Amino acid sequence: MTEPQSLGLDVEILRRLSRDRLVRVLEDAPGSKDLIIDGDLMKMFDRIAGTSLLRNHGVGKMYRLERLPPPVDSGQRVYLVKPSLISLKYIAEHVHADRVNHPHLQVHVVVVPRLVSWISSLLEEEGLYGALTLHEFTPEFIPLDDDLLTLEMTSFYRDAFLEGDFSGCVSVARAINTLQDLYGRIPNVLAHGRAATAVVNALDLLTQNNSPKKSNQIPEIGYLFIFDRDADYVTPMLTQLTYEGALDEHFGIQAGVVELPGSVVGQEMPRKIHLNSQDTIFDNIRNMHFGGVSRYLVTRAREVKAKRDQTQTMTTEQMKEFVANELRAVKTLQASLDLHLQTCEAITSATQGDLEARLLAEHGLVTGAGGAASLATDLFENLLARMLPMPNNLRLLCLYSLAQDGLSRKEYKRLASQVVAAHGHRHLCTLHNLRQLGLLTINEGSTGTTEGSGSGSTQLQERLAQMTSLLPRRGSGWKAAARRLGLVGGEDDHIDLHSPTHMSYVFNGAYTPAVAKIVSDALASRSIAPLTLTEALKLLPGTTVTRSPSPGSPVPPRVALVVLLGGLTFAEIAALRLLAVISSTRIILASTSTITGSVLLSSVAHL
Amino acid sequence: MNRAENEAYWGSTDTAPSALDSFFDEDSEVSWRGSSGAASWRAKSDRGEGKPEVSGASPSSSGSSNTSYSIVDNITVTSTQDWAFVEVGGSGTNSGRSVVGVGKAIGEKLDSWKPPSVSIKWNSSQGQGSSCAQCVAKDNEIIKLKKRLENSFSRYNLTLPPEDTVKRILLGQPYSLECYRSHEDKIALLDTALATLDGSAILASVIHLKNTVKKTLFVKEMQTRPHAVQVYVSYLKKRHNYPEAIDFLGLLGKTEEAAILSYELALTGKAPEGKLKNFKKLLETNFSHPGLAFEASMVEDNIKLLSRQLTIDEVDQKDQSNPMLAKYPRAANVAGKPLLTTLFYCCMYHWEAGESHPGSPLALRKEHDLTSRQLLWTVLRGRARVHHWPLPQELDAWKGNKGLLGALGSLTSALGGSGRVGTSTVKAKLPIDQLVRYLATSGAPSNILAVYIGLVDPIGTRLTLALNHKCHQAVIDVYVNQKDKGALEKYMKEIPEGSPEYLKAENALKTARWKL
Repeated sequence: MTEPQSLGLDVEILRRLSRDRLVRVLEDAPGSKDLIIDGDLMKMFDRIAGTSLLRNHGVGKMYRLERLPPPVDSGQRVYLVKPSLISLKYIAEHVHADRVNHPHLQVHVVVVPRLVSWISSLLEEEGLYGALTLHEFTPEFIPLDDDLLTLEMTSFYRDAFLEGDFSGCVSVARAINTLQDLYGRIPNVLAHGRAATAVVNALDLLTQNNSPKKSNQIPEIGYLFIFDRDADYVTPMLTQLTYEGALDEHFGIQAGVVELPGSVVGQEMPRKIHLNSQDTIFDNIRNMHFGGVSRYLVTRAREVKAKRDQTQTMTTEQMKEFVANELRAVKTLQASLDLHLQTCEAITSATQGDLEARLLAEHGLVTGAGGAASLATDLFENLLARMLPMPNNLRLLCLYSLAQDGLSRKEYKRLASQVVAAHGHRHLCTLHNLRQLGLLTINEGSTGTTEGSGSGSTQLQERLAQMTSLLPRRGSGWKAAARRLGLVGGEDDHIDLHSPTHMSYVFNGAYTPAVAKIVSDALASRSIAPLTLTEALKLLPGTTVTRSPSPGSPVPPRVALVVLLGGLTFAEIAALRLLAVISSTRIILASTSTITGSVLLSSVAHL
Repeated sequence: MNRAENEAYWGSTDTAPSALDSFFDEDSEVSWRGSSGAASWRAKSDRGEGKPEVSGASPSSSGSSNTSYSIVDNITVTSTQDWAFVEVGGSGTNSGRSVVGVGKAIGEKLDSWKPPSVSIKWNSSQGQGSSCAQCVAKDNEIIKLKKRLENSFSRYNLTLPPEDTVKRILLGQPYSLECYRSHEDKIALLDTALATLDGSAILASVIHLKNTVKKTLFVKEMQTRPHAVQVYVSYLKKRHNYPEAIDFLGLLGKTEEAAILSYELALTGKAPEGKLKNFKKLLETNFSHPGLAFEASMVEDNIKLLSRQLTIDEVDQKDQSNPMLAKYPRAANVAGKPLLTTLFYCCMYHWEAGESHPGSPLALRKEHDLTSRQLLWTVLRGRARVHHWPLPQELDAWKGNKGLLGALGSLTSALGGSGRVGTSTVKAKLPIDQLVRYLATSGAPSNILAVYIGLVDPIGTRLTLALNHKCHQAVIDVYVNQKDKGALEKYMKEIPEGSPEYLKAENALKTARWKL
């Protein structure tokens, strides 16, 4: 899949900006210093800067932040931490411990991405107000690929959606604002959800501060979409079927890097692999339906073999030329093919036997197929009885609840007690969290059977309750929203999974990720928010904010920025990449981090 | 707000790093160094002198607040040039403040001995950042702002519009909430913060309210602001102030949240005995609400399980006679593990124990609700761990009377061919193909596998499964069942000659009834 090549919009510049900003923070503590980094931030800093950059700016030793303070070998110490209580408590302990023997030690604390208000009061309580210096480092979007950006704010989902702390939105707004500084103010905006609204609010504040000449710049990005993760919970709950999605599900992709266990790549140590479009083989298969990947790889492998076989009959002259020009490329190709064949094999053997039943249940639930509900509960109870990993089990439970617009109380009790038996009583708290999030809903009143034809009147009551409640209870209106947005089915034709033309190919044609569908609808119409779309969006949690250019403005460029707050799945990425081709739009995807449903659920589970 | 202060003072300045180096190089010219121990120890050349100060607080020298002024003046003068330089770079910051350079770094060195009262005043100057080229103007402004702040301490005075303050918090600029003293002002501030949804702004205004009004009033105002409650409670949790969070939720009438939180708190206890005690207390207090009957029953279940686990651990630690414990040394205590893990453990170590033994799987089953699926999977997994693969009949024997459970009982009856009763429900509930795959990977012998494969329906699937797992016995059974002599004859090639399966197949070819 090739995407329309760009209008000179280079996202790589963002990395340079982050790097420059990091350098300035480091030079705030001039001279040599030791660096102590929050483990959660390492991946992010790895993508921004190499060690040599740090060394060039006085960094001596580097440590991971732990409870015990590292040895003092330098007059200065710089901590890079997230605004989390534990990190700050550790720092406080370090400072108290070190000041006895090293009174000259100067301590700098860099909070990433935002120095929030409670930090200084915490330090004051520790008696450290003034004893250390606080800084802030807000990274720009980190480019993982030409069309994929991340902020690596891995706790955003929990903070915002479970704890109600949307303070990360300001950092997101700053990153978007930088893009606007570079490429002009984006004329069309569609934002939906609470976090998205908070981002737009903060963005407005930031643009007020921009110099007026910026607003006259001709925009290079025509559309900005911002969504909350809760606009579509069904997508992350479904098992991903694209190659890159499957990689993420099985091995975990963090900030564009997958770590394959040694057993898969046939060596002792695990191997880290950067996944991006520079690997041409990977670029070709990443968005493919998994079912077609190995066939493709085998075909390509045969080609390469044929090429190698040719060398047998080559004259010395030809051989020389081959070695000089092609050998390297062929070798790289071969290595890449081998690697992906190995991972394919590992994934296939790991899913053997279980995947089929799972997909049958998942897709049945989403499309409302008869008998799917009992199939799903049976499968779920078996997964629990086998004590398979919890996040993946809970995904099915949440999908079941979402697709049925909630469980009856009786059913909830039955399934919840089995969850607790399999995974421990402490997960009463996890279940509570899932209910707070609307991932799991109990339909009070409806004594409902498993075939959740949930009577109309109770649904209406739910809806009313939803509207009157100040903190909306979510997760009980999915069916209506999916129908309205046309997420299920959609095309009557058979969906071609291997040369796809419809975005639902990412889920075997059963379901189109809502975000992709909304973007598609908006890009296809004359205004960014046609009435049918805004009406449909009302069924999703949260409110919609739209901005359109004043009449008579030039036609916006076909470049769209899609931001997902709370995590983006590779299934959505694949669907939107297909949309980019279909609608000949350059689509740049940005998120707080890439996720799978299991990662999402683990982040809100009780530890 | 260290940074904030500095910035307030330094006016969002930014200078090249080299400037600082030269600043330190010119040791002799820095007149202020002697006036404060805290300052002097920071200069490299002076390390030897005097005792190291433990904190940055003002040392022996007198009148620290006065000195701070003079030093500030000093620096203002010496670094004027830096400021001019800064102007160029600093004013163009668009994505909010950029990082502050040297001016700031020097300021940081100073603030350690700036008395707190002074810092508050500095705080009030709230980073102008635009007009510092003229130092006189800056000084005047400082004086003006200082007056303004002083005025703000009196209750008749101006308050900053809440929008301004909230915006400052959002953009990370220095701010002060001191001036919001009337109740209306505090509430207006809170509501403005809530409208932006920003957690940092909301929390700052909630805590300001909390610290300045009495509890009942605080609770009353929070009652109508659920988002503020959410932010405040998660802040308390973050600070591990669970008791206050639980109390607060209770006052707001959020019984379920309070109960779950109190359970979470009880879970944090290290010693299992303490946990038990806490759980019991919870049932009488937080979980007594009738709407929480289910959750209460779960906690009760937890109590029962944990007590049993403690007994099991105690007995098994001392037990020298149990051969299983010697053969498979315990990896860990079972206390705190899930119910199914406990059952797994009991099946491993106490398979044959009578119900009176605390580790008896039967006793565990009796005390807790377990579905047939849970029992079947866990028992088989637990036994497979000790290389024992019970046949369905054995499971019956283990249970002691008519069928281990509905499920296993009907397994047996299906096997004995004595009736079709229940077979279909078993098959609907238990994915036997998965079961067989599990048994095979756990190393179950072929004859056991054959029995379980024999339960698979339809017969086509049974055959595939048997062939996949190279379970000759099961293949033979299928062909005999299908009366397919030709197929069996063909399959004979796969079976090692002379093996029991081979003999069985030979026998079958001779004796069984075949299709003509």
